[in-house]
Amino acid sequence: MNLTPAQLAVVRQPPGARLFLEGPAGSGKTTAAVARLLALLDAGVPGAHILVLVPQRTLAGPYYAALRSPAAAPGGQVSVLTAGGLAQRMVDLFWPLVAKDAGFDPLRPPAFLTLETAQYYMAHLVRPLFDEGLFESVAIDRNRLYSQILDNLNKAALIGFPVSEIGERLSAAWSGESAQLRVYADVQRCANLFRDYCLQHNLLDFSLQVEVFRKHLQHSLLVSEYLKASVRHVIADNIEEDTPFAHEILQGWLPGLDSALLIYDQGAGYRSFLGADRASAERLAAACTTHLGMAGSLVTPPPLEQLGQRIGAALERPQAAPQEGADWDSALDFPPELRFFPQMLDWVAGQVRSLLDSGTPPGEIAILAPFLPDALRFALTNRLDALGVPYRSHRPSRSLADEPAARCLLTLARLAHPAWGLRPSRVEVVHALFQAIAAIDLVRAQLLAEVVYRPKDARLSPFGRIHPDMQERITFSVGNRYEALRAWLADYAEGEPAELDFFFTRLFGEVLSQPGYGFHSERDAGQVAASLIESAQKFRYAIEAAGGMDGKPLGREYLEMVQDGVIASTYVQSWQPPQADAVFIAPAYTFLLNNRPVEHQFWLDVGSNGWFERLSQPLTHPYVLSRDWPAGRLWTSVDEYEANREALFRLALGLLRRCKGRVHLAFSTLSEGGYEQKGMLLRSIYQVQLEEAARG
Amino acid sequence: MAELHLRPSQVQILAYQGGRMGISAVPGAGKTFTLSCLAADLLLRGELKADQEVLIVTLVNSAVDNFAGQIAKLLSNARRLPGWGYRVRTLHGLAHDIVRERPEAVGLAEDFQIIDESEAGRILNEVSAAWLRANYDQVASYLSDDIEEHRLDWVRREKLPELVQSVALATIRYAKDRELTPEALRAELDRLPMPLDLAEMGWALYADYQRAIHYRGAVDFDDLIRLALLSLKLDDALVERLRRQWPYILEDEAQDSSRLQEEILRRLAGTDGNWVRVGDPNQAIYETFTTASPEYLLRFRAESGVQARDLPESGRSQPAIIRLANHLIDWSQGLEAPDPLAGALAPPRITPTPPGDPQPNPPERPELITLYAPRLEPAEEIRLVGQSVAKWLKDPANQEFTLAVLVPRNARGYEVVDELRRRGVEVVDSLLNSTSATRAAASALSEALSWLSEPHSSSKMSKAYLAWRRRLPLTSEEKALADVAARQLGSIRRVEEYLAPLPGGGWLAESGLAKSAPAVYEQLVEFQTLARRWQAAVVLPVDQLVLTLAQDFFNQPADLAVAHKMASLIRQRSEAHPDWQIDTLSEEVAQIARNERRFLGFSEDDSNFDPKRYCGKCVVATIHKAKGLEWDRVYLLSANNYDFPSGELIDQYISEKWFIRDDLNLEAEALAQLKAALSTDEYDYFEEGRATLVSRADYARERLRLFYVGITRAKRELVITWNTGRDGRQAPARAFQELMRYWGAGYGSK
Amino acid sequence: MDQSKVRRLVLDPAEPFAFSQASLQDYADCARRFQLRYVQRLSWPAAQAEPVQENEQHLRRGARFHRLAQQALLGVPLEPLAQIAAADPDPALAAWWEHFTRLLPALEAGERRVELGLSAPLGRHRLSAVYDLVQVFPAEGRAVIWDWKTSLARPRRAWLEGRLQTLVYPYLLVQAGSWLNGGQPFAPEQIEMVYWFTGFPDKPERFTCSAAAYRKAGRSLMALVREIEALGPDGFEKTPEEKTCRFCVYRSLCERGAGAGPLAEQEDEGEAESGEIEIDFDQIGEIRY
Repeated sequence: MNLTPAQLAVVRQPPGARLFLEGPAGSGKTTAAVARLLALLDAGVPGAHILVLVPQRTLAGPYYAALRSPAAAPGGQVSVLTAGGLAQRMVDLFWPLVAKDAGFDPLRPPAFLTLETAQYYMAHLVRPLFDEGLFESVAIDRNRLYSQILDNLNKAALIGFPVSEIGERLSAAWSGESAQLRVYADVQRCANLFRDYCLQHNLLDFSLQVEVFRKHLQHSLLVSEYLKASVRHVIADNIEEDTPFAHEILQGWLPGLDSALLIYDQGAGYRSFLGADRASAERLAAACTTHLGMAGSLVTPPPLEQLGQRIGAALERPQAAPQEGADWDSALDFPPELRFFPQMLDWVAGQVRSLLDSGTPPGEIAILAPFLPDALRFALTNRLDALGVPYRSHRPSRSLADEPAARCLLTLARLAHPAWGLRPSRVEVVHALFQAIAAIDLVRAQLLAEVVYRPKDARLSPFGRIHPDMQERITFSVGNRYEALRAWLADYAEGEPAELDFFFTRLFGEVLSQPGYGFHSERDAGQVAASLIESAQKFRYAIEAAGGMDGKPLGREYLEMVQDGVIASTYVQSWQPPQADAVFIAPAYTFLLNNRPVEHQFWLDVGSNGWFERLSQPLTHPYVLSRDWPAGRLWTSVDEYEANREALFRLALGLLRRCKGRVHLAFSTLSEGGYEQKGMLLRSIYQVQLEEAARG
Repeated sequence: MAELHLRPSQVQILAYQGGRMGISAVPGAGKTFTLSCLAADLLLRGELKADQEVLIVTLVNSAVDNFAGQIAKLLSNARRLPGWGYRVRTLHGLAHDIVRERPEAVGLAEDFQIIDESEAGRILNEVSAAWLRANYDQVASYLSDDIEEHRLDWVRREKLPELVQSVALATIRYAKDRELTPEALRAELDRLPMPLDLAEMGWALYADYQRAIHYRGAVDFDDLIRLALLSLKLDDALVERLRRQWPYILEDEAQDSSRLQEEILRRLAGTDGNWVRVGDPNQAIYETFTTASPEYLLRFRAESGVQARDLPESGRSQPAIIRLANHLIDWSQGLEAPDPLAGALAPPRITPTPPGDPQPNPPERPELITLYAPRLEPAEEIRLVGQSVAKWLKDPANQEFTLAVLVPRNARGYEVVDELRRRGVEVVDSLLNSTSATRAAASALSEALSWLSEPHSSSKMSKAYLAWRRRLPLTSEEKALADVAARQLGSIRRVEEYLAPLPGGGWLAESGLAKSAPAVYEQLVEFQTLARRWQAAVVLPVDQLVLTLAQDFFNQPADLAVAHKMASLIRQRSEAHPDWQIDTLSEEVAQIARNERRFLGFSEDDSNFDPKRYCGKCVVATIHKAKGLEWDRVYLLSANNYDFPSGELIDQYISEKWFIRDDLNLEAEALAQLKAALSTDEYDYFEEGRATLVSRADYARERLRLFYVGITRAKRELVITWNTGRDGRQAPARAFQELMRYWGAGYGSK
Repeated sequence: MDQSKVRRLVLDPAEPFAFSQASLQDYADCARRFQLRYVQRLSWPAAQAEPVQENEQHLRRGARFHRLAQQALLGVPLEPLAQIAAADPDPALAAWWEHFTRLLPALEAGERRVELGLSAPLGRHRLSAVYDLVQVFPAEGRAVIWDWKTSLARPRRAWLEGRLQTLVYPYLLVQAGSWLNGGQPFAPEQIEMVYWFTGFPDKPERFTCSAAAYRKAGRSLMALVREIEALGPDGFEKTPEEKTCRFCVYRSLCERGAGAGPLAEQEDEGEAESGEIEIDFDQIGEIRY
């Protein structure tokens, strides 16, 4: 590894040092930290005594890669964790010590809720209250409503204030319509309900995992001894993206550690929505013995840094530092005048193609948007497919429940459980047969469903009972497969109903993945089925842990929740190959937190205000619920505007600092919805241009 | 802009140095042009900062593009990013911008949805039906005693739900215009000593409706405006920022301003801000179905500190037509209260352009004006007009001229279209509906979806094929070929044998077409490939299916844009109704196309309807849709006292239903109850029937202005006819009678 | 082309691969399974053994036992653990726990390393393992590797002897364990490996290591890795032992039957794979930007 002198300086700090390293993105901090990690191992520090702490998994990539390589000295395994992961692990291990004090039943094991199951329980508790008029005045879809209440609980835990203060804090800062105060009261009520329910049923959502660790475990003698013995050296990267909870843990550890390296990215802080706190990260510097700075970028050419600073000046950011000289103009690529949104997509796909044709490796291109709805992802990838461009996205364009393979399984599950009364429509059965049976065409699937399926009683009739003429049309090979599937379902329906995930497992293994059926050669269908099964299984575990469902079949509840969009609304995580061979398509913030610079960035829909506006959270508030917000101060639109401009500057600068070559601005006069768009990002670029023109 | 020739009145306006200005313009005075010049001039003065814009507010989407185009033309290529420095918005567009600044302040998520009129209508329909089921007795007291027994059930089933829905709509509009939430309205109603039944009914429907749209995380168009104002009221800092961002506000069509619109702009402009309002109070024709009123512009002009200006010159019409229009103004001014038509039209009168003007008026030709007095049955009127149109179009002398038939209502327009088509006249009817291009794109998609929901139907397959083929303009040979291929497809008995034949056979192979009709065969092979691709996509989420189809259907950017918009709307629909499958959703696609208008700037003919493009054809439009347009020859139909009533005893009113007792206009009565409830004046009490009469008068005044708008669409030739109505009892409209009197008295000649 | 859906068919020459005893065992059992599971990372959610619910119960019971054992060895008081075991809906757990408490005194001696993760380079790749317990006696330079087995039937010694776990664990402890032994690698003959059966507490199976065995293990592991590296896309053959397929989820893909084999006949206990530690990182969902 070729290291710069600044990086070498980090590696060569004495083993016992407690280092605070700061610098902008692209200055080589993580590379230095990885080198130091390897150096520690080489020096004989047991890997089992080292903890690498990162705010989220993507940021652990370089450490994992190094530890997996043969270059790492043999020894104990280094732990790479998030603070939340650490909390969960400790709660799990030392549960018997704290369960009672924390208000749980110590005789039963803890049931950790996933985001999905937490959302389910929230829905379960809150839904009946809608009839009482709760949240009546908020226009927000149900799932976001649930997730924002959960978000409040998480914030309370991560920042360290009592759950009972959520409503009060939000109300005290509210400057808008007074009806909102009632909404905050509703939020508080639901948060309380949820918390009480969790305590009664030994359920631990993320917030409780954090709270139990913070309040009960951390100070237990056994746990602190355990941690003291196993965490001797800490490398904490991107602490600016981490929460006060993580910072508190570090603060407590620092004095007793054998060595520490804390890394702070100046200008970042993108996860503030998730409770990240730059200020409390910065305060950790005081507990370190040595401060190191890295300046200058190993990535960004000066024109792009310059452009970022100019944008900052246009956004009236005091910390922006524009200098004269650099020719940022050459680093920007403008589209021809495009009126419509699809034209912009065409332009992007075409530009990408020609970049590849002129020798740019696909991995050196990223297409970024403030957010990336499914349809946009789909429309874009269709175009790239048509041009033969290899691409990769951090998630597919369909949620689990929308995946055809999942829909097929769900429809068949409804058919197999007629007693649940969730009768599929004929169209659904047509589509299920179309998916389930290999080599059937849509027309025959339709014909088949027309004759064998009556939606009224939701039963499939045998192929043998069809008129021979129709049998012939449908063909006997299709008929045989259908018949085997039907018989399997009928057979199943005869017996005791199995748990839904077992039902899926067997249906998949014994029928759908067998030769002659639709999932046999569809590897992705296996992935989808696996995810659906996992979701149903975790759902079942969570319900079982809470003592069951009093009478209602669990599978039915699951299917209903899928239909309501509460469950299976996440995305199938697919297997990720190395990154060099594909154009990366992602939301801008995801790209930032992937932390991998590229040659070319396309800023999609750069005229959209989505680049500028905070995602609205009518039931929570990332700034008001932060540690430094003064109690009782009002959040006004001035604050909002300031915060948005600050965030936009950080975003733009962060992107530019991860660009090695050129930024391509993609925009159309009209948005997808037909609105004219002049978002703040584009406006500030325009302003930079005007100023440039005025200067001559 | 030195090379522009400006009239003195325009020069006066361009000399604007700031402050408030109110301009009254006449039809054809070039309001858009003048405002565009002013906007361009303000920009070229160079006083605006990079982040500031001239804000232009206008009425309809088509005007937005008109403005943007004009200004872009007037500005040189000084800027690198085109379209910067100004912002043209409809009121809804502006409201959207404002609410988007901070949606959560008014209780919205940042991706809040706007439901269009069709979805709003559907919700209202459901809400009204449910309410009526539970509360039939409450409306029963309003039913007329004369309803025959055998019709009662029908009225109850068919007519009452419609009426309840329209009362609900009026109530909701009104409440939102008064910035009242259901809760706030409830509080007002609770203060009354005794309940008012229609107001209670309106409130109940409002509350249900609002709950339903909240549930969808959405707002409707009226909410958008209400919430925009609320945002401004709640947040001074926001107002400050927007004032800085928009140092100049230019408002077009100000006669159709509503109270809220004025309030929003007043706040944005500030007390000493720069606000120019242009309008023609005589063309205020949107009051009945909205809360707009020309009074706002008139009062504004009278405020102290407002510079009042006129744009009285118009080069549009020949002098004789101008005389007719001016006479209507004079006549209305000469009438006296309580005549409802008194003062319904107001000066300025129209002045022809001065000599040397680049837009000289057409020469005086009184003989080109026909005020057709004889009584005609409705069918006769159409026949006669059809005959006349066909003849006129055939005349080689008219090949360079434009022609329009204007009617008061859509339904009448369709009848005219049918008649003209029967006569072989080429008709342009895109103004009768949403734009044809939008519709064409959407209906093509809907045909394809409809087939995919029943893939074994060969007739649907045939239609889907045709829709796909016709996505491009075809030559007549190609058309013929497509028709043959479509017939072939429609004749297939077993679709699967065409699309998914078993090895060694299949319909195509056995048809012998490869030899007998290779061109058709080729078509069918190509379509087969496509169809298979579509079928494979059928299991995708519906928006992705639409996008997949769109790639094969369209290559025109505008069409693709429509498809994208369609995909996102259909996604919203399917999220709101998770049980809907492709069959229901394909219906929806067609539905959306018919109704989605206000935000669609997608189609060229939507944005700029240019009558000049249709020489040799006949445009059929409602008078409302014809606003802002002009033709060489104009037919104005149905000039009777039903479509243009004037408060006389024999008049019948569209809002007074035959099955309601005492000729009550329930919408008007409901609103009157609300007004009484909201009033703080103790003499403001509700008296049944009074509002019905007031509403008659308002309606009559607006219809007079509509008549005026119709007349002033004509440049050279004008034909006005009337008919006796469905029941044969109608008379010529009073204003029409007056014109005939005036014309007969010799005013037709100079 | 969506590259995130593209699956590798052979090991990536540019990427080190993390081998474990489980993946190597899979390769030894069936090269095709190794390819599907570790190279292609193909999820194929068929049943492993029937009845599925019993199989699941079995696996979860095993996991709960491992957790209890770990807690006990970390010093969590035994009283509450016993209560938890007794309150468990699965009566077998209480019995196992009782067996384990009888073993506990024997585990008190020496330094205890619970859930110990070790890793060391293996050619261009890496070999990792997580040990249930390693008991170190520093004074003697001696170590005992403990592995809890929760299978229903007690496997034969010969079968265990042939397992890669028996090969890998002592080998890796020598390779990566010197930090446990004052900086000196353990001498192979000082390492003992004990399989302790929850259902058969009095019949543990003990294996001792030797320098020769250690060298042989190294050679055979390297040979295995080289063999895998050299395989082409079609080189990963299905096992000729069709019996294996009864307990393999990929059986439908390989067209080797529909139903899973009976749980009682499964020799391997199908313990959840313990390799890289995967805590639920994604507790907080994707940010909706």
